[in-house]
Amino acid sequence: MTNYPVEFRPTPRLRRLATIAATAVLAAIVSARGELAVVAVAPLVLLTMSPRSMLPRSVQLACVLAPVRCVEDDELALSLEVHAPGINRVEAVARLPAHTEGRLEQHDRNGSVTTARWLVVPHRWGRYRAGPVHVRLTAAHGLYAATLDVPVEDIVVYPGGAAVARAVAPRELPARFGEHPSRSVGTGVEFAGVRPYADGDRRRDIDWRTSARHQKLFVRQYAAERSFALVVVLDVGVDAGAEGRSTLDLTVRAATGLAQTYLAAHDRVGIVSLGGSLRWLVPAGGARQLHRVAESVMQVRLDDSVVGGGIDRVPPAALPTGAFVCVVSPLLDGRALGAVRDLRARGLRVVVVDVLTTEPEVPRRSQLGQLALRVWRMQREAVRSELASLGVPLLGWDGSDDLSGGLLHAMRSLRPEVRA
Amino acid sequence: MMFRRVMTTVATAAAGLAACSLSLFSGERPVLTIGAASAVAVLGAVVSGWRWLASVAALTVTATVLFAAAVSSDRVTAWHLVGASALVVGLVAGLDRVERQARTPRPELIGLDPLGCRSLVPVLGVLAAAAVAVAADRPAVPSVGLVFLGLAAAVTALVLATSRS
Repeated sequence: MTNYPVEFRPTPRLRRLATIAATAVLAAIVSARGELAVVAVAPLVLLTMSPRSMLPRSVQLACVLAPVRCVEDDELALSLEVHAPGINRVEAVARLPAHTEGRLEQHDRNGSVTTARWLVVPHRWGRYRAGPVHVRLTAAHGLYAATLDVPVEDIVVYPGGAAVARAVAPRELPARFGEHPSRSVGTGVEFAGVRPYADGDRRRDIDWRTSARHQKLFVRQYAAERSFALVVVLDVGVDAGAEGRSTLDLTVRAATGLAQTYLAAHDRVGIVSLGGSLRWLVPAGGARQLHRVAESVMQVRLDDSVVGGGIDRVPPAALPTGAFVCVVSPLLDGRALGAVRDLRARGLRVVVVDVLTTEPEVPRRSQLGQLALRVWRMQREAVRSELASLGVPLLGWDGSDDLSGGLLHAMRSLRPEVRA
Repeated sequence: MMFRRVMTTVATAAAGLAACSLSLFSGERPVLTIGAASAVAVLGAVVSGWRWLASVAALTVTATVLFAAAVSSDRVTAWHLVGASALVVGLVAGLDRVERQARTPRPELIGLDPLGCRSLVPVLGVLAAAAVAVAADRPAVPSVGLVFLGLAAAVTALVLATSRS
């Protein structure tokens, strides 16, 4: 609880009662009729029974928002506690940032302690300045009021991860321990086949049914479990679409969802953001990397004044050999296509996730507009054709479906030998 | 919430109009004119929620009551004034609430004293007004000293009530 000094000021009610009392007393004196003073009595009693000296000079307040770090559409609790003896009425307005919904969930008054709790739901990722909570205290039967602005901590809203049900991966994986069954034989748990028994094989690996059928000992083989590096390239140079479902929103949600799923599968995940200032995060694994990815994604903002260069400026450590690159882009300008060309030139396996869900709005009756729209569609088609010629699968995503199905399909179509 | 808002508006308007209706007891044209004007002011204040109009309404309603009592002392008794005083206090409280409802962003009420605590002092005020009315009904010998003593007591009480220390 923090002690806040308060200064109570007379309210319009006090002024009106004082005016009524003065008018009635004056009328009684001027008209020499004592009974007119009756009108002044009730206001005078109200004024004199609420002395200003009884008003508190400070109040204790506590305002807590928890948690201050959350994911989109999480529920936060904003709690306010006011300890102020001699206060008749406590009102509050919780000023919430944009894209944030809030409602008073409960309030209670126990003696001089007033508590209130708001349910706050941020709907869009970003860093927001919440509050202040504007508190209005009324004392002395509404004759004096004081206002206070109570600061609230800023909210950090991480993007809600896209639905990625499972971490699909190509069969051809570098020799790193992980959770993806690879094509090579190893010590995993997924059945990979049988082979004739050889000296040194474990007895428990013998497949008795196959051995009985062939009258010869066979042992089971298991797929080696490997991990791989996933680099998510975010094209944030352009933003299109409605707030909350714009291409930038879908891009950061896709990146967060992929990072969450693949880091949970003990893979390494890196981030490269193109457009605006160029940023990258070298692929790594672990819970700490998820935090780094989230913070990196949060820094992604549309900033036309900064042009940070293309993918050629990204160091090899951020795009390691054998990494799988997922380019999330609305494909609205040539930079993304250029980046894909560079990535292919580096010999990396690339899949493009197209997050553009809208088309330019043109008047229906405008022939020129319709022509422009047709040209725009043809340009999009040309981009798709070029991606196909580069051997890069294209996956459309509108933010509602599970990404893993599309990714699996894209990985299968990547190369004949690459399978999930 | 909407129901409560409508009820507040209706109750405030009713209190103001009832106080204005004292002009009907008088029946004099000037009193009726100022009564009609104050009724319009009350209705305008409760509908618009404007602060200045609410102040004008409170003042004109008081003026109506006082004017009616001054002009027609035979038809408007001290007991009428007690009732009118209670209505004026209710009107002021109601206008306060109407103004609060018209404020944007509308503050949410999170703590309020019980009704008993809130209504104690206004009830005491009306009782005191009734006591004064009883005293006014009785024939009394005019005493300049007593009048000055009363005024001095009232001024002292007000100074004490509004002083900061």
